[in-house]
Amino acid sequence: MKNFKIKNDYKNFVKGLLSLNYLVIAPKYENGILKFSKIKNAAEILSPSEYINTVSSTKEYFFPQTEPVIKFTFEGKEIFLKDVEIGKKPKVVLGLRPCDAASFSILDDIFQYEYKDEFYFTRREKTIIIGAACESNDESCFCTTTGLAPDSSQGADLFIEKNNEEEYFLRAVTEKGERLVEQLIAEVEELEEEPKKNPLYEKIEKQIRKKIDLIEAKKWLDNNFENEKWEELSSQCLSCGSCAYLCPTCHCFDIVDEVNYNSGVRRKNWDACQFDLFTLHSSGHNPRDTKAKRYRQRVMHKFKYYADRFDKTLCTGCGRCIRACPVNIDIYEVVKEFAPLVEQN
Amino acid sequence: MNSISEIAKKLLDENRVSAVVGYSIGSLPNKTKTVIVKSSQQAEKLIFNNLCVNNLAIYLTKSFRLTTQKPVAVVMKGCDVKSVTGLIQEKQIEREQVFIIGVKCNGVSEDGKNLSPKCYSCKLQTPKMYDILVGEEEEKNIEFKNPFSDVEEFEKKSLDERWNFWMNELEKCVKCYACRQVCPLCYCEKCIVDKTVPRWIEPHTSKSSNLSWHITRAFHLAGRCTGCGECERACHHNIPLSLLNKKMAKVVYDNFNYQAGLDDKAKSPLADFKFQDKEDFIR
Amino acid sequence: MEEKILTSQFEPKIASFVCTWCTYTGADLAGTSRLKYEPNVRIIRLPCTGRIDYNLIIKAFENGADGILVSGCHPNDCHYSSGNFYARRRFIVFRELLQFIGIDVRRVQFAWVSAAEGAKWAKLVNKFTSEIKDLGQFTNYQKIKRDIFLEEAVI
Ligand code: SF4
Ligand code: SF4
Ligand code: SF4
Ligand code: SF4
Ligand code: FES
Repeated sequence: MKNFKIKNDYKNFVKGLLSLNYLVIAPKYENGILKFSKIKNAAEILSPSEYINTVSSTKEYFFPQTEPVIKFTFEGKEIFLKDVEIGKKPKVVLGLRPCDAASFSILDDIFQYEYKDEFYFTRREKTIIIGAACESNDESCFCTTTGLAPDSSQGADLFIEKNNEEEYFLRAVTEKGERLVEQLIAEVEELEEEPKKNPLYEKIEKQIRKKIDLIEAKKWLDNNFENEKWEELSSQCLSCGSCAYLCPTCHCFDIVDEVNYNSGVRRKNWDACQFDLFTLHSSGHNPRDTKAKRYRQRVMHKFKYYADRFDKTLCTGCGRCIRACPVNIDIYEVVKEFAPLVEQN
Repeated sequence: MNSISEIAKKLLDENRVSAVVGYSIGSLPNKTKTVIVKSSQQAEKLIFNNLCVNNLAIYLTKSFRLTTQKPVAVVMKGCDVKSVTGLIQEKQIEREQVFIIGVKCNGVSEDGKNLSPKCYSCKLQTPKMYDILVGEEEEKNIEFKNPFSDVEEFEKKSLDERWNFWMNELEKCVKCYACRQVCPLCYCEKCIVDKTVPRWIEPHTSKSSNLSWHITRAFHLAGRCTGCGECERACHHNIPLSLLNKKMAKVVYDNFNYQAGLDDKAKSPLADFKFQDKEDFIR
Repeated sequence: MEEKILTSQFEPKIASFVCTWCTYTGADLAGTSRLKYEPNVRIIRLPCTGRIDYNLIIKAFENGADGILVSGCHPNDCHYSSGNFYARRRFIVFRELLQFIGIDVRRVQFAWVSAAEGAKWAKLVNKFTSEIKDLGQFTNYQKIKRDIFLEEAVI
């Protein structure tokens, strides 16, 4: 795949994108938090060096907190169904860190497992993902454990990186990405040679929390569905759900009908395994009736069940759940409880 | 004077409490970790420092049920004890069910740098109610700021400005209800948002259903919220929940001369009335 | 922000939550006494003002009410002796909360109307209806209500 140099600065490149009539979504400070938001003009854009990561992930643009799936009206005894339209405008999501970009290759699997979720995939197909390598990290990041690195482009269509002369360039990762760059020829220029690696990325990789051996972790999980550790690890959890709501890979939802006297809508709303109501049956029975069982579900789903089914980890090491947890339940520390660190030379 | 871990060890060894809830070193430099210590071997984990911002009264209600057989010991700052007072007032727990390890506090910080906003109006650096007190340092003087100054500032805005402000802020809410989960006074076994027949507040996010939730949260806590700030701390979307809470506290103070969490015999102001309550707005 | 629709063509929707013992009976009296009053008010009968949950008010706004009138027995006349005293406190606080959020409290009014005060009820309704006509449609609230049937997907 080709590489392209950004001719002027990053902002001009974004200007070019906006002029192509894409809905551009990128990290932006809005009402006091850094969040992926719609960019109206290039001046609002933050360059990859200006942030570590956003508070919430980009999943809301593919799998929103609430989503109507079907609408209906009643007339007498008859019910009429009406399909829901999905936003049509092509989108570019820009500036995702490797841990967010990688979340798509993970979510794609579950959203077409046995049944293809059209809502997710319609949006997915209309969207181009432009990742950006990390130029800093914090104490929560642990992407190396999940097989990523500050400069891994997995899941992205295009990837922004700095070469060893501190100039930004674009790496085309997929055909889709390459086609987009070709439309931006005024802003970019194809590079003949593979750019030289900037040493910064290696340096950051070393600062990140040490890599845990997830193969060993899975072995432990395979044998320890019943273990008193689950109780111990989750006893102080407040069931606030922040961990799941902010996670780029958590994808549980709850289906709810909202009805008026003559019309209604069926919705998909986010759910979280730490909630007391999670998997509560209408009979009153709940197979996961304790915090320990729900926390076990969280860890098992991420590091065992998903690995069994798709050979992937349902975690990208973004650290959002760690930053957000009000009682400091740290998933990295939890996994480290039952697996060794990988020896590094 | 004994340290927290020594006290905890003793309480557990003597079998006087079912558990000790306290703080330990966190995994991040600016956080402490909440721990529920059940055996005396683990008691040495317990610490107290200026990062101990959490209000541990939360562990007295909800699904924790730590107090069912024996009392539970909880490490508490003066402000946290207010929540216990509230819970006793509302008959959620009895005084004997909780062993308060009170700590003298010189202010706490959420980020390791700045003093938490709640500390600026604190008059309880030494708790009002405790079973044992720790921390022998001198009480440092914390600069006192009028807790209602931001409410007063906000009220100067026009109606439309206020409406637009809240619409922008509340639009961010993702209805995770973390604000409810961390609140020691939000102890309802079934919250109104989880009730489906009838559905008062829809679980989807929209400006109107978010507004309903926030009116509900603020109103249900009017006269009960002790200002511990946990809800705002838990809200990862930085919604200024304390502003609403403080407004409620101010209304209750101005009209009924009542402050939450100070008197465990007092009646909650909205579960009470006086014949001479104002009614100039009633036609 | 609020668009005023010409008073002559704007017929406000007013929801009225009343207690069954006093105001509802009072309104009935207004009817049997053939007192004519504005037809904009839809009456919802509840046992006591103490039962009037603020959620009813919010739901009414969500469903397009332009004004809300809450009414019950005079102090010391409550059928359940103190329901209206609790309600009075609740409304002191609730009004302030609405105001703080930016809702014009002139749209939410409270009254004491006894079973004998049919004439007071008729006058009150007329006055309040004309006040709401002056304030115009409550577009602020109506705009934020997600129309669950018409709504287009956001993204
Ligand atoms: S589990 Fe935590 S660290 Fe892993 S992807 Fe989700 S939010 Fe990020
Ligand atoms: S963020 Fe922490 S307290 Fe909240 S549900 Fe997750 S693990 Fe529990
Ligand atoms: S914690 Fe914040 S985002 Fe979550 S429900 Fe409360 S206000 Fe909304
Ligand atoms: S509403 Fe917020 S500030 Fe008040 S008691 Fe609950 S958590 Fe603390
Ligand atoms: S019965 Fe009329 S207000 Fe209580």
